[in-house]
Amino acid sequence: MALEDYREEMERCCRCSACKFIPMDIVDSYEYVTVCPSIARYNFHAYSGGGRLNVALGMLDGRVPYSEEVLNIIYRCQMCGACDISCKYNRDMEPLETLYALRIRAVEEGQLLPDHLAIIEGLRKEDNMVQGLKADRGKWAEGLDVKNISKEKTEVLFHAGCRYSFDQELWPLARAAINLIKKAGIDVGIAGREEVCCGGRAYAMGYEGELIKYAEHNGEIFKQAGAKTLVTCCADGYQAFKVMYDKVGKKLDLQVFHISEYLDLLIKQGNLKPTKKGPMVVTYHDPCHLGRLAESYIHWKGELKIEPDKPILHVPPKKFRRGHEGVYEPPRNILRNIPGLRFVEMKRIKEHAWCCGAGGGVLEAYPDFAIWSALQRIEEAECTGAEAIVTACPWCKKNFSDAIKQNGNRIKVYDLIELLATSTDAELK
Amino acid sequence: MQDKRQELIEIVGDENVYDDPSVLDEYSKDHSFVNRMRPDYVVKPKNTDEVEAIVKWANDTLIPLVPVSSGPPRFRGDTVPSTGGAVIFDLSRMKQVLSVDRRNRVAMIEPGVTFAELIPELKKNGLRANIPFLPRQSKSVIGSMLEREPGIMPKYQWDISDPLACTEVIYGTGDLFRTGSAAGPGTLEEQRTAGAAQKGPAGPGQADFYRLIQGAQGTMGIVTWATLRCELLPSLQEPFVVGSSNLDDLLEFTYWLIRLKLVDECLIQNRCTLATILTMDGNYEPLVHGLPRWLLFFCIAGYEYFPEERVAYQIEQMMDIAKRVALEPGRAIGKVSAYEVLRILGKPAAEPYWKLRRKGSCYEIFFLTTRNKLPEIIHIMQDVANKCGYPVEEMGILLQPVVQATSYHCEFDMFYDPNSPTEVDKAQEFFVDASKVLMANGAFFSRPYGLWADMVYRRDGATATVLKKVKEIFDPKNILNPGKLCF
Amino acid sequence: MTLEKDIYRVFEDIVGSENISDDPAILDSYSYHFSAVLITRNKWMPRPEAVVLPANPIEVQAVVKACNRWRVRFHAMSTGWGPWNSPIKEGLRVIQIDLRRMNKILDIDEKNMYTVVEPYVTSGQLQAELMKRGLCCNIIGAGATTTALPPPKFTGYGQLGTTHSCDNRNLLAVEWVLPTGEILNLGSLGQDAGWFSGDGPGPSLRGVLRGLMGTMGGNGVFTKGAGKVYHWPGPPVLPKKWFSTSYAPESLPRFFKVWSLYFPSWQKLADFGYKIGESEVGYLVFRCTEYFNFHFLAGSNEEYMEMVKDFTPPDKVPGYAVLIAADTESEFNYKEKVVRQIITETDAKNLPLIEDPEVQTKLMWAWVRDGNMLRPIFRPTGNFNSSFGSLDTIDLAINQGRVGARIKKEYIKRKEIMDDGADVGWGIPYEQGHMMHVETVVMGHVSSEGATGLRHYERAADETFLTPSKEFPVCGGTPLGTFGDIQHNRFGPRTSNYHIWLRKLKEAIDPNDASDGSFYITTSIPNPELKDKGKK
Repeated sequence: MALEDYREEMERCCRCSACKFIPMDIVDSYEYVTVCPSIARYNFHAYSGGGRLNVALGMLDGRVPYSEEVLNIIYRCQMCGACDISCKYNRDMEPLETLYALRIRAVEEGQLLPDHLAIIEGLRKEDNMVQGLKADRGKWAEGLDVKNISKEKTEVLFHAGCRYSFDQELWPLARAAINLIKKAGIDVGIAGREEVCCGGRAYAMGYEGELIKYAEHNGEIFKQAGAKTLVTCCADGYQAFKVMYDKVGKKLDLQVFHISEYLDLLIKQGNLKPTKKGPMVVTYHDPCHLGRLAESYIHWKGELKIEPDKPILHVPPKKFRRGHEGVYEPPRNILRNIPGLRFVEMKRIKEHAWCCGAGGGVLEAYPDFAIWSALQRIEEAECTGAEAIVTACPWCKKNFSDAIKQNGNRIKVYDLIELLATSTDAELK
Repeated sequence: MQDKRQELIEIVGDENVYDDPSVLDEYSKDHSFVNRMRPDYVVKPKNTDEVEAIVKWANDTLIPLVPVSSGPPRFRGDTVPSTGGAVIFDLSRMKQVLSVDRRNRVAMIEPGVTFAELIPELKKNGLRANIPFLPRQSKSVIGSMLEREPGIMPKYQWDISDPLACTEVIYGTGDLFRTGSAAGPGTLEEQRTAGAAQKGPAGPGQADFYRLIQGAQGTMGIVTWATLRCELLPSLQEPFVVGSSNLDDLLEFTYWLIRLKLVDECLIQNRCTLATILTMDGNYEPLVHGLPRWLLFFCIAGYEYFPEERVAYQIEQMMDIAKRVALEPGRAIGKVSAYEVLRILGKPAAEPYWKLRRKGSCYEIFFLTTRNKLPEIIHIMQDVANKCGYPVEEMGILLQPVVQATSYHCEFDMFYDPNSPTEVDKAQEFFVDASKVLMANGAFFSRPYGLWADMVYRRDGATATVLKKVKEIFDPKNILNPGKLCF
Repeated sequence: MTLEKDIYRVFEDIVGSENISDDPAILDSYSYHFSAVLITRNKWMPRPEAVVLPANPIEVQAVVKACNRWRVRFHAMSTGWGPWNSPIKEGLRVIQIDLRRMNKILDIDEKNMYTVVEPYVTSGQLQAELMKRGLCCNIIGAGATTTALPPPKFTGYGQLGTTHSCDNRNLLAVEWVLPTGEILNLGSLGQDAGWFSGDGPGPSLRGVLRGLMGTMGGNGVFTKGAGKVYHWPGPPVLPKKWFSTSYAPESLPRFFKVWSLYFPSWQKLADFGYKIGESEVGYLVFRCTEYFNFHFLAGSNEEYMEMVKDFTPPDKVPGYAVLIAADTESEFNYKEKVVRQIITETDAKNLPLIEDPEVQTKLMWAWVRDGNMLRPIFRPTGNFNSSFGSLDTIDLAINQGRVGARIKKEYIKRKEIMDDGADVGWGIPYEQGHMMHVETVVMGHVSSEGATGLRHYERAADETFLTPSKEFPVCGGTPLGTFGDIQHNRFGPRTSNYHIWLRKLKEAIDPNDASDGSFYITTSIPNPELKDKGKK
C-alpha cells in the first residue's frame, strides 16, 4: 500500500500519547513505562509514532517539505513496532504500517541517508547487511561437520544470518547452534557461502524492493534444497522469513523456526538436556523481531466502511496483530531449564519490550542513538539485580555489548545459544 | 457628617443607622491586638438591594465600609476599622434561612444567620452542618465559612473552602455577582426547575470566584446570601475519647481513622482546652488535673442503612488500629464522658463564650501545618511561652485535622486577664514573638488577621503583588475594609 | 510566519539547540489535533512559531520572560492532548512550551495524603506508585496517559470521583510561573511551609489559577503541583493476565464487587445516585451505559457491534457502574448489603454479563485505571465532542443527560452523528453524591462532514443552556466547553457577566498578553505591539 492509502488512519490519530508508553493497564510503577526510544530521546512529539503520522499527513497535505529534520524524524526510529502495539491496544489502527510506507516513500523519492545507502549498496553487491564480502560468508562454518545444500538436499535448513556470518565474535555461537541441533540428533544443512541476506533489515530502512528480491531468491533456494524446516538464529531473519515474505506475497512453503523455538522443542522432546549448572541471575531481553513483530502476518482484503452514523468498520472484520503471539515462552523455557540459572523479568517484556536500539537502520546511521537506547535497557536490566542480560538476537547482543563497553557497566550480555551450549556441553568455539 | 448620615438613612431607614458612642465603641475594638479605631456609623441593611446601594454609596463617597456579620465577642481584628471615618456594615439583620434542601443536602442562608439559628432548621430536615469547634452563639455561619474556619468533621471537608458552596456577592465596585453554579444561566427559580440547587462552588467558567471572597476579610465583596453543603443527621452515634501523653500516637491513630473514613467528628485537644469547654462554674482545676495531656475525640456514626452494622464494622476497624498504636479508646476519660463532649460539640458554645470563661479574654494563634510538624511546633511554642513567662499548662491547644487530614488547623488559645496591664503586655509580646517563630518554622498563617498580615506578606511578595491586582479589580477604590491583609 | 532569527536564538540560548525547533514537520506534530476541524474548519490547528522543551522551572521562567521581552506569546502544554494546546488562529505569534522533560514525581507524602509532581508525570504512573502504598489518585476521564498535575486539567472529572473528588478540588499548592515570568508559589508553598495547601494567605489565588475549567495555557505555566490522594483498599500490585486487548488483573481483589445497573426511569436513576452517595458505600460510582462497558470489553469496533447486536438492556435507563471496595470482610458485607438494599429500593437491575467474574475484573480495571477510554471515545469514529456537564446536583446532571440524549436523537436521525443509542451520558456523583456532572458525548467522523454534525449538536446543546425552558430544563452552572472568547461572550451575559471579570483578571495577571489566551480568555484590547507583529 502506498503512503496515501494510510491517510485515513493518519487523520484518526487523536494524539492520546499511548504510542509513547506501554498500555496503562499494565503499568505498575513510575519507572520503565515509556516504550518508544525515539520520543524518549528526542522529546519532540514528531518523534513518536503518532507524531510521525502527523508528519506523514503534513507531507501528503503539502505542508511539510523534506528537510534534514524530516529525515531525522523518519530515520531516527528503530521501527521496533512498540508504538504500534500500544496504539492498537485501544484503537483499530496500525501506525507501523504507515511508518513503513513513509520510509518506502522517502526512499522512492530519493530521500536517503548516505549511511543507509552504503549498506544497501553493499547488500546489492555482496548480499549482506554488514559490508562483508560474499566470498567470506561461509567462513563461520569452516571445519564444521555439516551438510551444505549446494551439494545435498536437507529437510532442516539452518540460516545463520548476516550478523552471525560475518561477525567473528559471534561465529562460536552460530557453530554452537549447529552443534546443539546435531547433538539432538537432527540432520541439518546450511547454505554456507551461498547463503544470502533475508532482506528484512533493508525493508525496515525503506527498501522494499530488496525484501522482495531476497524473498524470491530465498524461496527458490530453500525449495531447491528440499527444506521443510528453516531454522534461523537471527531474529531479523526470523521475522523476515515468517512474516515479511508473507506480507509481500512471497510466503515461504516451509516451517520457520527461530533457534530458540527449535531448541526449546528439542528440550521438550528430550533430545537436549541441559545438565551443567550455570549459577547466575539473568534477565531476558525480548528482541523486537522475535517478539511483537514476529506474529504471523494476517492478510486482510476488505474495505473500511465509513458511514456518518456508524462506527468505522472493517468489512470483513480485520484481525489485528497485537503482538502477543511472538516467540516469548521458548527462550524463557530454555533459561528455566538451565540448572542453577535464576531468571528474573524486567518490567517491559514481551510485546512491550524496550528496543535494544539497533533496528531500523539506527545502528548504521545514528550509532549514538543506538547506544543510548541500549543503555536505557541495560539500566532496566541492572535494576532487576541480574548479573547478565540474555538475548536471542545478534543485533541486540552486539548493541548491548558495545554499549556496555562504552559505558563501563558490569552486567554481562549473553546469547541464549551460548548459555544452552555450555549447559549441554555442546561445543562453543 | 449629617449629610452622610441622612444618605445612609435613606437607604436603610433611620432605625438602622447608629452613631451612638456606646454602639460605636463596641465596634472599635475586639480581643485582638489591633489598634482601636472608632467607626463613624454602624448601618444594618436588611436585603441585597440595601447592601448594593450602600456599596455604591461608598464608591461615590469613598467612605470605607467594614463588613461584620457576627456578634461579639470578636477576636481577630478583621472587623475593627483600620482607618478613620469608616462605616461598620453590620449584616446581622439579614437573618433568613432562605431554603433547606434535604435531597441535595444544601441550605441557603443570609449572612446574619448564626449557627444557633441554623442548626435547629437543619435538624428539622434531617441535616446538620459541619460546624467549627464551639462557635460562639452570635457567630455568623456565612462569616465562619468566609473565614475558612475548619469544621470538626474532617471527613466531610474535601476542599479547604467547604462547606461554602455558592454565593451572591456585591463586589467593592457595587456590582452584583453570583459565584459557582448559581451564576446562571437562568434565574435561581429556573435553575431549581432544572434540578439545580446552587451547590456547585466552582466557576463560573475558568476562575473560582468564590475563592477570592473567602479569606478576604470583607475586602473583595459583601456576601448577601450563600449556600452551604450540609451532611445527614446520623441515626446512631458512638463517640469515643482516648488520651495519651504521646501526641505522635494519637496523630497516627487519627490518620488512619480519617484515611479509612471511619469517623465523623474528629479532633485532638490538650487537657486545658477540654477542661475549659467543659467547665462553667470554677471546676476547671480538679477536672484538668485528672486528664491526660492530649485527648482525641471522635465519633462513629450510622445513618439510614443498617446503622448498627455500619457502626459495628467501623468500631471493629477502629479497635484494630487502636491496638496497632497501643491506645485504648473508651467512652470516658476520668470524669469526662465522650457523650457529653459530643453533645457540647454539636452546637454553639454556651454563654459565657468558652474563650472568655477562664480569665475574661483570650488571644488566638492559629495556622495550618502538617501532622509531622505538629510535635515540633508545639515544642517551639512552649519554648517561646517559657521565654515570655506564659504558663504553658494554661495554654489551650486544638489540633483539628482539615481537608481530610492533608493538614491540621493548629490553634493555641492564650487566656489572660484583660484588666491586668502586666498580662496584657505579656500577651502582646508573646503573640508577636510566637507568631514570628512559628512562621519561621513552617506554620502557614493562611488566615492572616491583624498583625500577621504584614509578617505573612513580607515573606511572599509575589502573592501580595497579585492579590493587589485582584483587589484593584473587585474594589478599585479600596472602600471595603481598607488596611486589611496587604491592601 | 517565522520567528526572527535573533529572537529564535534567545530561546535557543535558554533551552539548548537540541530543545528548540521551528521545522515545519515538528510544528505540524503540535498542530494536528482531533476536533481541530471543529475550530479551524480544516484538520490542522495553527502552527506555533517554534517548540521549546525546557528542562526545569528556571528555563520555563526564562522562556516566559523572553516572551514578555520580545513580544512573543507562549502556550504551555503537559501531555498536549486536544486542540486547546494550540493557538486558536493564525497570526498570534505563539511558541509552544512542551513540558515533557519535566516528568518527575517529587514527593509522595503518605502521611499527609498528597503528592507533588511535575507536569509530564502521567496519572497512570502516579496511580501505580500510589497503589503500592495503599493509596490512589483520581484519573480524569480522558485516561491514564494524561497529566497527574491538577492545575492544567480540563475539568478534572474522573470515574473515581465519588471517593476521589475532582481535580479542580484536589489541587493544593502549585509552583506557578505567571504570564509575566515571576514565580508565584501558591498557598503554603509561598510561605516555605510545604505543599499541603493551595489557599491563602488571605483570599485564595487558586481561584485565579483555574476554575471549573483549567485555563488551557492562557494563564502562565504550572511547573509543579500538589494534589490530594485517597485510600486504596486493593492490593499494592495487581498481577495481570497478559493478553491484548485485555490486560486485566487475574481476579477481582478480595472484598471488591462490581455492578452495572439499569433503571426503570430517570427518576430512579437519580434516586440511586442520592442514596448510594448518602450511604457512603460506593468506592467508584459513575454514570455508565453499555456503550462504555461494551467498548471497554471489546477489542475492536466490530467486536463491539457484535456485542450490541442482540443486546437487550435489562431496563429502560442505563445507569451506574458501581464498585465497592473494603479493607475487611465485615466492611465488605455491610457495603454489599447496602448496595443490594438500594438496588431493591430503586428497582435497579444488574447487567447479566457482569455476573461473569472475568467481565467483572476487566470492567473494574477499566473503570479504576481508565486505560481504555479511547475505545468508546476515539475508536468508533476518530473524533468526538461533549456537551452539558455543569457541576451541581445529581438531579440537574441526570436532567442534562436526559436532555442531551433527546437532542442527540435529532442529529442521529439526520445521520450527522454516530448512532450510539443517543444516551451516552457519562458522569460522576462526586464526593459521595454531593455534586454531579453528566456530559453527553457524541461521536462524529474526522472528516469535515463529521465535524458538521458535531458542531450542530454542540450549538443545539448550548442553546438549551442559554434559553432555559420547561421542555429542556438544564441550566445551572456553565457547561463544559465554556472556554475561549466566543463561549465566554455567549455565556457570560447570562451568567453574572463573569466574562467581564475574567477578562479583567487576565488583563491584570498578564499585562503583556504573553500567555496565549486562545482557550482561556483574551484581553479586550490586544497589545498594539503584538498586533503590529502579527501583521508581518
